[in-house]
Amino acid sequence: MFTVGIDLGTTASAVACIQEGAPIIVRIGGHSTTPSVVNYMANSVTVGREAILQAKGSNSIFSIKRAMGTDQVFSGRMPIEISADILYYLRKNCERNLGRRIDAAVITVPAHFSDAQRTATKHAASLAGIRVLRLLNEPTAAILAFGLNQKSNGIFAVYDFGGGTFDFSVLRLMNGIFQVLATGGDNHLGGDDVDNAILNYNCRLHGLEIKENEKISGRLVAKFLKEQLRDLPKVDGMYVHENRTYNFQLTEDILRSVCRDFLRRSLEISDRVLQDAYVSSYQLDGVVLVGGMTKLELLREEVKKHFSAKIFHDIDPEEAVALGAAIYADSIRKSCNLLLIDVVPLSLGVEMFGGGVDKIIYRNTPIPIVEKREYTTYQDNQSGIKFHVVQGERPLAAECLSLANFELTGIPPLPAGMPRIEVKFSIDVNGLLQVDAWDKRTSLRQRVVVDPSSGLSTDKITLILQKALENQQEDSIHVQNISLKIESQRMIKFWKSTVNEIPLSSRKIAKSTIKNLKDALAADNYEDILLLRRKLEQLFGLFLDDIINSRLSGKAITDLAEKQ
Amino acid sequence: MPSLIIMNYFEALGIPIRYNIDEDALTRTYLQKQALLHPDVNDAESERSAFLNKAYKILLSPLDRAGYFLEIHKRHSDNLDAEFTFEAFNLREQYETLESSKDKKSFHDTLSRRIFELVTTLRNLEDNLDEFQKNYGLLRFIASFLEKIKSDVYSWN
Repeated sequence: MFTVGIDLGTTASAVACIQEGAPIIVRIGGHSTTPSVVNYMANSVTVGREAILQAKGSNSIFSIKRAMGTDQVFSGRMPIEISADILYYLRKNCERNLGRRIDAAVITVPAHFSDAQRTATKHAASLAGIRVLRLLNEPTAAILAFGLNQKSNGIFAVYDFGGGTFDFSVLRLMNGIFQVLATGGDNHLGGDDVDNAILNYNCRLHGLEIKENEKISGRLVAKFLKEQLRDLPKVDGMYVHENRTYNFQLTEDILRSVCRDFLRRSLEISDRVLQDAYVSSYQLDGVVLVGGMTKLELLREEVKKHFSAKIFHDIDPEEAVALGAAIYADSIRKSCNLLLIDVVPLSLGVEMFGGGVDKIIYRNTPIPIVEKREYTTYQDNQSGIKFHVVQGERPLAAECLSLANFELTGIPPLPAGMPRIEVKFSIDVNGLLQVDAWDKRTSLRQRVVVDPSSGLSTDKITLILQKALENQQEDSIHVQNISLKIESQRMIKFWKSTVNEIPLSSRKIAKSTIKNLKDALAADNYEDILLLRRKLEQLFGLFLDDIINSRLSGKAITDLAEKQ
Repeated sequence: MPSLIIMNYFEALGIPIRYNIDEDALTRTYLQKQALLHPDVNDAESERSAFLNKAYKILLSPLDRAGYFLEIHKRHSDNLDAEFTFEAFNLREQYETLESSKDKKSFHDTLSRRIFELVTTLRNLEDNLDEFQKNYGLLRFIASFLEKIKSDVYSWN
């Protein structure tokens, strides 16, 4: 069973795996990161550096991550298809380099990614033939790479300034458990914006006007200058536009003034997140720097000045996220003593009559989470209720992100206010939403079809996914079996750790069933694996409360506090 | 398996029904339990893990915990008591005279301190539910007022 961590970035992506117990970056073409650029020309797909080289054909697609979860079309393709091409390229190259098949992956997303963006990422992965073990938030993944171990209890922040997005998270680390206290960010704040500003600055200098869709090569020059400035006080670069050559330049002072607004915005967001976490800057035990932008010395200085905490930047900020994802992938598989408890990045609510939002799940609520609400009709004999689910902090639905629309139908004719419809909103550990509803009077359950309201039709996605599945029919059975094995192994570890705490009368049978399950796993007997797993789940489910209580019994929580 | 609905949040965390709790200890207990129930550890218990998250979130917040504490004692009204309407009215008037965002921010801080005071008061009123309920009414008023000011003062996206 082989798992990897994939950082699917806005400007660059990276893959990492565990080798001989330590996380390493899987290099592709000698590089630790691959530009998230795709080029479609004459039936061929190129990804990464090659695609940048072909960028002049203007068929190259940059920063597709910014369009995830929307129905925009680029070169005739949807964002999930383009992302899938990047993921497929990463997967194939890694498999070739490592000489083994990737069975499953943890894929990272910005912490404040909405449900639609997460769903799109998951779809892209399945299109690329990758089983997603978990979607993990980037800042949360990054902190794992910094080797903070069981002894590093404390409160840490992750300042993640990437190519396209900015994230800030505050976490508590206690005995190997990472608990996210609060998170926040901006989907449209990243190194790309700085490149753009450098380009605009130089255009103004030369009195040059470039159309928005012709800016790609100019931005590449700007990015190049920004990266070169690390070692030099002043850098120059050639930019060719309409057969004329211009000398672009960048000094530290120019960069500082260009960055000022972006930097200030990032620090404002950081302060707000700290406030959400009820943590003051001085309570932080450390701030971890992640993302390509944090390679800039001037940015590090400002961040250091802003937080009076220790700054961690000893791991390459472009590699940390992938490395952390690989660590977590490995830990989920093996059930190590490592656990991440993440939160909902944006509040989730339902639009009410009049356009206001009834908030159902507040931001920074730990996941998984389930919330129930009861709704009724406002007209006699009303047979259906329309729901509009939104994400965001604004009081008006129109100002929030529209997430989904669905309609409950088949409500029996009753006077207004009589029907009692319970709607259940569940957010799983990947941050993905599921909605269920049932009519409490008739006990009829409704399957709620959530249509992502970004205009992206479910039918269209289903069609694309089906097409992909046809090509991977064998893959899909393989993938299902792999996932069954991964999950079973994880459960075995868990059951073994608790088996001596269940009543003696059941212990023997539990032990022998665990052994049988292990044998079934070794023999790849999937039918037995499924059966034995179900049996053990039932058996242990009976005693779980007792186990928990006995572990905690006799100890008031104040005692526990003293013990630690 | 026991139904989740009959369990209250205090039971879910395995602590006595009290308002005055040690929040740090609550977190430790929560993390210990989650280490056994979280879906990344235990596939079969995601519902219990979700219920534990909800319980923790409610009990950790001094405001939500107070509301829940009253709910358990079958006291549902959270109206502002006559004793406090004057203070509430005054606060609202004061805020309306403020113009600069600096003044608004400092008013925001004043309210935060008042909330802290009220929470301390509540901690000592566990056994006097009538008084507890009155103070909770004011706490709720100020907390929701504070939310409104927050969205005035800080720009959310």
